[in-house]
Amino acid sequence: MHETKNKESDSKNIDYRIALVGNPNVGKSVLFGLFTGKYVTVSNYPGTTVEVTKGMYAGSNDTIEVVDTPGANSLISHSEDERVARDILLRDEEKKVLQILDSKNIHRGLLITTQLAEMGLPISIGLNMWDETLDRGMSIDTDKLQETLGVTLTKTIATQKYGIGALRNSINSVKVPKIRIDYGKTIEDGITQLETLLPDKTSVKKRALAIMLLSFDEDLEETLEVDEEALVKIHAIRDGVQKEYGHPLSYVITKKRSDYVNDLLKGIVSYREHEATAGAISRNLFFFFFMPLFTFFVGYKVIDLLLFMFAGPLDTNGLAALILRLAGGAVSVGYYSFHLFSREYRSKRKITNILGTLTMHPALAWPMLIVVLWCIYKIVGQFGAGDCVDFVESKIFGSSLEMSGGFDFKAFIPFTKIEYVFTHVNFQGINYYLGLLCQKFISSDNFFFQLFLGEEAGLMQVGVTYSIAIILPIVGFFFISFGLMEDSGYLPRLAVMLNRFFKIIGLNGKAVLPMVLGLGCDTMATMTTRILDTKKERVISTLLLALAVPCSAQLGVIAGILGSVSGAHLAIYFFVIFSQMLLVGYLSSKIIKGSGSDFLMEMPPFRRPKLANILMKTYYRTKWFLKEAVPLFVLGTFILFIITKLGVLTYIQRAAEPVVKHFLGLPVETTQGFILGFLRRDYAVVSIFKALEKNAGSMVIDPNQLIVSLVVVTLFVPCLANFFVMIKERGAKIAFLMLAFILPFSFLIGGILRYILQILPI
Amino acid sequence: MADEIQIEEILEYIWILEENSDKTKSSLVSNKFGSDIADTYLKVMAEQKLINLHNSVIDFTEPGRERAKLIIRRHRIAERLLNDVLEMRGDEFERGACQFEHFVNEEIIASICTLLGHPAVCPHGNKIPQGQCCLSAKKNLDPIISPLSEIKAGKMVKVVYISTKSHASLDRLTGIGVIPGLELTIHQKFPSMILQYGETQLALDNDIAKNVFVRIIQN
Repeated sequence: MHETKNKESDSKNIDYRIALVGNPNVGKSVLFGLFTGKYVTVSNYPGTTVEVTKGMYAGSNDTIEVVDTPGANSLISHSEDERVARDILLRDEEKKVLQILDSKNIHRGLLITTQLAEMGLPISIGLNMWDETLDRGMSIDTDKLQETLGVTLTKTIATQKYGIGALRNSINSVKVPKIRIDYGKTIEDGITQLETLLPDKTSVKKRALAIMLLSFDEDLEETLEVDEEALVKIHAIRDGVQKEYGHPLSYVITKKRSDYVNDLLKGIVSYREHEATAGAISRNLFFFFFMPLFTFFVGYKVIDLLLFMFAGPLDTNGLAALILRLAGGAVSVGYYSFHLFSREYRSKRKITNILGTLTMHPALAWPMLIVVLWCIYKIVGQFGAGDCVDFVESKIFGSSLEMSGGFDFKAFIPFTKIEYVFTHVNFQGINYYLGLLCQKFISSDNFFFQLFLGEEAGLMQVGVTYSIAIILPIVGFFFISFGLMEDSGYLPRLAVMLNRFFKIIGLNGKAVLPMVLGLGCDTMATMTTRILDTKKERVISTLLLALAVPCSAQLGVIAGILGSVSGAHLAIYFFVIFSQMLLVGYLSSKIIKGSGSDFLMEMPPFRRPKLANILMKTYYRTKWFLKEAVPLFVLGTFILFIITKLGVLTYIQRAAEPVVKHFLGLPVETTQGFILGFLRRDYAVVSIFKALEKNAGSMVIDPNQLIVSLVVVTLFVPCLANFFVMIKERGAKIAFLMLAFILPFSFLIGGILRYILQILPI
Repeated sequence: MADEIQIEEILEYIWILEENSDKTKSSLVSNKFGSDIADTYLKVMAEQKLINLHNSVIDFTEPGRERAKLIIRRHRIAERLLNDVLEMRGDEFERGACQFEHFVNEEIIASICTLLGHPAVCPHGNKIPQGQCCLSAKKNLDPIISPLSEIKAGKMVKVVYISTKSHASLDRLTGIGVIPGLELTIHQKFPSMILQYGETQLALDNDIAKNVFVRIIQN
């Protein structure tokens, strides 16, 4: 109902549509943002846009609509995104196509142009990333190419808004490219035969449709809605043509197109002798200052982390440990410098290119990865989840019944104890003032007071406070770091490095995006599993996210608690979680039907990230998150409130007693923590920690108990928001099946771990 | 001699018909070679126990199948040689391969096969039956053509052919420009293989690289 209504109102006043089409990672989304003023996620990672985004052309009084399509290397659909892009072009409506191509990869871009020409669509071409093309010493004779194609070409650098005006103007002069490819007699005959079978009214030229049908594009058959009888004939013709070739027809056809484009580009693309080099000052700074400093830090930190893991934090302060660290730093500087000076110094490449190579070097990339992860942990886990959360949760929001005590507004110098207090802010927390206000009317035992401001499950005191005080800092900082990784091009390099590991669990390197994002927020990561190619991969990654990837909120608290016990325990924790991920991933890749896909990914160049884009992206991601998550958390709190009020919690605790107490060897009170895990995963950790602390009394908490409970709570149910998204993305049946697997599995692993730890002498 | 060649041609044709999973009828053979020749030679072949004829349906006997297999193998190996190494195209290529198959003995074919890196498919994408040399696959000689996955990092190679049948995502390779004739450098092999061509860096699985056959053009 809603949709049809929308369509009607749309067609009334829209003059025409502009469709942005092109290969992956060429900058369509940046241009979309420039044209419409609307923000869509932009990154240096191929396949960021999965869905179609629409917006109105700014200044057109809502008469021109702009459509951003997912990147596609071919308009014959192989994957979901390619199909989406193609279907937009096939839709029957007045449209102008703006093809964006990466000028340094012009060949691949023109392959799409040939297909647009076959469809008979009027287009204009934007040669984007013109700066990178020049940097590489490549020159394109655009006048000649423009003449050959008969289409306007515009050089652009979208991120710098260069050439955008000209590109806007070129939309008014779109033309069908002058391209006609002869596919050879057999195929051409097939095309002619197919054309007669197609319905008379098609939105694009029949020749294009016929070629797609020959390429075994089965999705198209659905879209075209041809009857059974015609379908049988179409298949007969297609199979007849296929018999004449040993290779699949799609391959033969693409090969012909590719040869055609090769001929077309002869005399148009040329290379100058030298590509752009970095300036002398920045080069020398890079080679003689930044890299030695950075690599020293890498070596130092790696040794530091190793010491932490094996010796515990207390033994690592001695002189020997310091010498060991310094030695690690020195070895690292020597090793990296040797590589850099022997390989890169004389080649005079740009610094970003050198870094691009270094970050996927077979050996040198690994220590750097460790340090990158450590930095993210410092920013997100310690500063975000620790300091910021503490501050916002206890000082800004506070408690409804107790004063927070206010905070100092001060300046300090990092790494020293020098600080200067400007003033003491006497703010007692939002919840406290709300509580004060409410207590004017009702007592704090009143049902409604409990509902909104109760300590245990008040909608305001727990639900809203949690989602804003915990999520905002953690997720915000995580998204900033993630944005940096995306836009610099580090993420695809991570995919290269981890591909072999992902292969074991039935995924491939491409899954790095949802998995790493899951370390920030599993809910959002589950949504991005869409970028994976096959259904099987999407199911496996959803399961693993729910089971074994702790989100930043949880990870921050766990690392804090376990790290304070000993590095070895933290290492055991990670080892157990990681091994479960491997085990479950491996098994499910064998059990779940369907096929995986192969890793085939273009490496985008390493680029200096644009701060504005990262902040923008973080802002939109965080906003999305708050909009989606806050209602869910409030709903979850409400459910918890009802459970507490009805006293169901005690029943559950009693029911779970045999498992929790006898099998896991934990105090019964921890059950509440596990149940809370469904609502907020990090709070579950805190709650369990407190229960253990109470149980231990004046004694130290048994570290084995701690590990067991933390492993269980990590593997245990995903949070409510994540579960809802699982239902939305994978369907209720699969989501509940996963839940039914995860619940007993996490307890089983916890129990096994308990017995193993009892035997081990730690 | 002429008889032998004719028989070999017919055996070869029957093999191809079988490969396309058509019923091998003598009428099909007649269509191709003319009914006179077909009738005479099919009878001769039946006498030599190369084929069985039941109601105009043709089946190979064991020795017949073995012989056909050798012919097909010779033909397709020859195609590979002419196409990949000598870079012949069109008519010259077709004629060359057809003449080749009747005159070369098994030992020479084994040497060529080894030289070419025991190719699995012909330039048209059809399967090449394996010989003794492929099964033992001795690597005393560095093959001229080998799968991308076998080449060391840092070499510059030219894509000679892509064995498209064995793998679905090879289709996607063509979309990003990896097609026969492309010259590329192997940037690194660990943790994943990365190819560099033009301004593109492409990461890919070993499973895909196994099916891309290349010739080293520069060390």
